[in-house]
Amino acid sequence: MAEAPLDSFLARLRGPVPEVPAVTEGLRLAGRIVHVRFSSAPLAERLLRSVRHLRTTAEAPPELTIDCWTAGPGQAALLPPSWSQTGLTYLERDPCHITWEPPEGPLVIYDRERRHGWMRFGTLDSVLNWEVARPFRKILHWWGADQSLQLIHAAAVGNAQGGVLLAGRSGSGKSTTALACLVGGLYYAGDDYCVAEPGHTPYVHAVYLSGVGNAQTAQLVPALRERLLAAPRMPAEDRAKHLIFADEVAPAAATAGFPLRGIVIPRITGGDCSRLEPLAAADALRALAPSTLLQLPGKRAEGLARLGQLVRSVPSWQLDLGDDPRTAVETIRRLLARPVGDSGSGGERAS
Amino acid sequence: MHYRLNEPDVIQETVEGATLIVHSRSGSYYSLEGSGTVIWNAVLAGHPVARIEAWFANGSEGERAAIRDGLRAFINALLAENLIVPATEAATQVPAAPGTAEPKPAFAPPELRKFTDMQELLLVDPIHDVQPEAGWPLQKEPPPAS
Repeated sequence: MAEAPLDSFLARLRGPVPEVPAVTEGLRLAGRIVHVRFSSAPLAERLLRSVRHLRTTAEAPPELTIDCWTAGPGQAALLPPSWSQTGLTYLERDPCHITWEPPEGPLVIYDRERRHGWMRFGTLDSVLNWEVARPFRKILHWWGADQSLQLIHAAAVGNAQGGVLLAGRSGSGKSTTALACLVGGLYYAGDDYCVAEPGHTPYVHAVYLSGVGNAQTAQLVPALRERLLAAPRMPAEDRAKHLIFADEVAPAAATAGFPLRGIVIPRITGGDCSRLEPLAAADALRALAPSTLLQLPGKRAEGLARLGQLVRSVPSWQLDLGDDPRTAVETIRRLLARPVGDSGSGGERAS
Repeated sequence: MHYRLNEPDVIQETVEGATLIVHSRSGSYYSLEGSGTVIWNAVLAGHPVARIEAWFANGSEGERAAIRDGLRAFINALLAENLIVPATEAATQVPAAPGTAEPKPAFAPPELRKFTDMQELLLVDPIHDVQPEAGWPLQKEPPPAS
């Protein structure tokens, strides 16, 4: 595709937004330099909150640039009428990926040839807490696909030697366990999304400092109760959930990432203790892949192949969660204390 | 009869003898094991169903009939779920014999396990794929203001 149509389209979308951004921030994500440019300081403040641990002053050329701005009045009319429906509209036309969440959600464009992304929001008020919690998610998914990186729908916790992914659908105990690990002194690389880099030594890269919990989370993790219930709410159907940031809870827990030691699939079973049992790689893939790939448009076949590579390269366990999340934290801590390469025979438990 | 994967809506991966299949449009996903995985991979490699049947069936006619019925039911299930579609052309290269990469399992009627728990996610936040012809950047430029 020639550049002209994209440039023309962007020029019309930008409208009166100046070419020179008000705020430019450098991030180091998965060892790569990412520049993010914003049309205003308030927009930068909202979208950088969850990734501020990635800030860098390195002057190396960026491997990804993202421009973010808020729209002028009436600009939504530039989009095809057929796109005006609920949900997420997605168009893939190599080298570009485009999504739009009408009517107020962001328009997101990524050009893989230029390694450049654009995010056009409505008003500043339309930047919802979903976006604050996990900004640039789709762009990172598309960009990562060309970098052998996979954005994964999973929490990640660990220590300096390594960590585990906590994967599972909503309600499996994944987020609560991750937040309990945060309070319990483990490194925290996200409760919802992180980036995995498969390979000989697979690695988890932290992306977001955000964490989300509801009243039940506050009950299960009492150390978070006051902060959690006072925190801003998530929007729409997630309004029972509150948004917090790991660096406010435990500054030392914020990490750039760690080697991946294994994949843990939690499930709530109750009882006095939490317990680990070995899990087949295929079962881990079934827990990890559909929720990751079905919520992110495009690059799915490559994503599934990378997830397959990941589950083949590290052991997987099922984590039966007891009533007290502290037992899960202790079980994970014991798992991480095993020598590297010792996948053990399971049976790890803590009460 | 040849079939192929219903791309790009359907993606699949085999890990340690088990296959995960995801239909991105419906939100359903599926798992296969044992002979189901072997047959699935043979179908995707371009083997006609008759060849797969012959590969499994080296016993009595009664056994062969049971294999034929099980195979037919399995292929019909894959078609009904839109996971495979008839291939208009045979594979350009003759694929290796089915299952040569792994020991031949005893034939058991393959079970296609279906999971629909992710569909609700797509219902809440559906993803509409737009055909390139229907939207940007092929839409016409608006006429200049006069």
